[in-house]
Parts: sequence; C-alpha cells; structure tokens
Amino acid sequence: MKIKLYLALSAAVLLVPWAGNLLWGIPAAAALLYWKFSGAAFFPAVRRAAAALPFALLIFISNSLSGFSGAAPWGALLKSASVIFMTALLFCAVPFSEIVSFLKALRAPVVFISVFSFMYRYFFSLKDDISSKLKALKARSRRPPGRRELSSLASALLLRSFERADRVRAAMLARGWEA
Amino acid sequence: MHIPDGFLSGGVLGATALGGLAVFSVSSARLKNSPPERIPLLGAAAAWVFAVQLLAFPAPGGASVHLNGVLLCAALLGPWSAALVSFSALLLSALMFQHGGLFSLGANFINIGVIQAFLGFALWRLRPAASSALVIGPLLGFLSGLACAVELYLSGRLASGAGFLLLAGAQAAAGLAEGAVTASLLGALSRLKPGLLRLERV
Repeated sequence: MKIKLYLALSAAVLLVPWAGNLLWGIPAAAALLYWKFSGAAFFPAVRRAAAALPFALLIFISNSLSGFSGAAPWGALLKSASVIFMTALLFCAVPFSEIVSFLKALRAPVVFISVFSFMYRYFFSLKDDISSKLKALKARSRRPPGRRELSSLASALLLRSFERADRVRAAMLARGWEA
Repeated sequence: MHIPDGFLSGGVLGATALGGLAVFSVSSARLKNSPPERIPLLGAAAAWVFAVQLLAFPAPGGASVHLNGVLLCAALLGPWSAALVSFSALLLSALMFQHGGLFSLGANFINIGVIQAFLGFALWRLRPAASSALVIGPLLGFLSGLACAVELYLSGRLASGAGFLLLAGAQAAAGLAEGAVTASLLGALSRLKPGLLRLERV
C-alpha cells in the first residue's frame, strides 16, 4: 500500500506544470501527506534527501545557465525535492523484502530479482569492508587517499566480492539450491 | 549524471522508459538460461558497482567522482550482463540514496547502463587491453553526458549551448577518472586473478 501510494503521489507531483506558481503547494502537500501516511521519522528522511539534492541542484544550475528564468527552474527543483523526500520516506518505511515482493507482483524477470536480492545482501558486507579499509588508509597517512590507493581498494573489494559469490554459491548448492 | 525525478517531461520519461524496458527485457531473456554460478556472480558484481559508489575518486579540476563501474563489468562479464547489473545498481541507488529518480530510471539506464555497457564493450573488443579504458572512459562519459543533455533539452529543461557543454564536459571529466581507475583495476585483475578476464561474456 505504501509503495502504491508513493507511486500515485509521485506521479501526481510530476504531472504538475513546471511554471504554475499557484500549483507549487501540490509537491509540498504530497510530501507531507506521504510523511504522515508512511509513519517514517521526518529528520532521517530529510537527511537522506538532503544528500541527494546536490544532483538536482547541478541540473538547476545548468537550467539557469541555459537562460531559463522565472518560475520554471524553481518549479522543477521543488518537484524534484518533493519526490526525493518521498523516496527517502519510502525506503525508511518499507522493508526491502516488501520491495522485492512488489517487483515479483509486477512480474519482473526471475534473473533480475535474483541479482537484485544478491546485490542487496552482499552490499552491506562490502560497505563494512570499505569503512574499515578507509579507516586503515586514513590512519596510515596524513593526506586523504589518492586515486592509486582508492583503485587498489576497489580492486581488493572486487576480488573479495567475487570470492564471496563463489562461497555463497557453493553453500547454496550444498543446501540443494537450483537456479 | 543521474537525472532526478522532476526534470524530464512526460514524453521523454515515457520514451526512455520504453527504450530502457526493452533493453532490460532482452538482457533478462539473454541471461535467463545462464549457468547457476553466474547469478551470484552478477549479484556480486552489482554489489561491487553499488558499493564502489561510496568511494569518491579525485577528478580533474579538484572535483571528485563516483565510479559507475559499467565499463569494467562490460569488459569482464559482457554487455547484457553489464546492462542488467547496471539496472539493478541504478534501481537500488534510486531507492536507497535517492541518487537518480525512480520515474527517470529508464533515462538513467539508457544514459549510463545502455550506452556504457554496449558501446563500452564494442570499443573494448577492438583493443582488449587495460590501457584502452583510458580512451574509452572519457568518450563514454562524454556520450552519457550528451544523452543526458539531449533528454533535458527535449524536456525543455536545457537550452543548447552552455548547459550542453556543462553536462557533457563534466561527464567527460568524470569519464577520464573512471577510465583511469578502470584501467588500473583491469591491470590489477590481470596480475592477481587473470581467470576473471576469461569469464564468459554475455
């Protein structure tokens, strides 16, 4: 239900004309309505959304440099901020397993569902690896890690990731998995 | 450049969604009968593509860029696999980090996944050496930026000129860093685990 409402409200926000000043309340109202309905905490979602806003701002700046003026660039930025905030609420409020179930209900291909689920599962262990390795790199040097250090970190992560895939596959085959 | 929701017009969203869906469907169909060991491998590659976005690589001009890893995946796993991996990573990125919109997923998939996987693989096959990535990276970055600029232009969000240059130029600079890192990763893999460079490319 939360996913369907997210899709409906986001689609409604995206349909609002860019230049209509009077319609600017719709994106804000949709975001607030979804916040109330989702039951997710407000500030963590704001923090998540704020991290994504620079990308919207870059396009907003390109818009402005391109000679657009008046309400249109601001309208687009407001719509974007509203949908970004609702997406942050969606991810805070809906467990990953429900998102996968929704994709299954949409009849997404099995191979994609498998890859998507594996990716989510592996991501957190890789994220921990990245954090600990970055901490170690910073502890050993006064300057921030450069391209060379980061490249070797990325290749170590890739190798570790593929080795983990081998181990997981062996464990799954041992438990009778057939894909 | 991941386009957030709110910047593309309905027509562009619809056209890119259809185009992206077509490539996604064919990719899934091509990989449907893959051997069982390939699925965890693709999952691991997708997790790596997603996780490596947390690393900010220094780029020309003092900026920092995030790898998208599609060129590397195309070189290791093949274009259809790289496209599926890229789609999965873009979807999770839109959900988890709100990096690119869910409604503009089709456009982002075409700009990043399709262009970089297929064109990257085609160019890579011409000269499959680590150093090729140094040339392919910026070219793919430029084309991705250009595709993004065209979509925004068709949506009435960008006039030609400064906006085009800003987007395509910024992406080419990011592609320069991506190409350099991909070249060093491929070099490292050929030394440490050459078997990975001999995987079946689908």
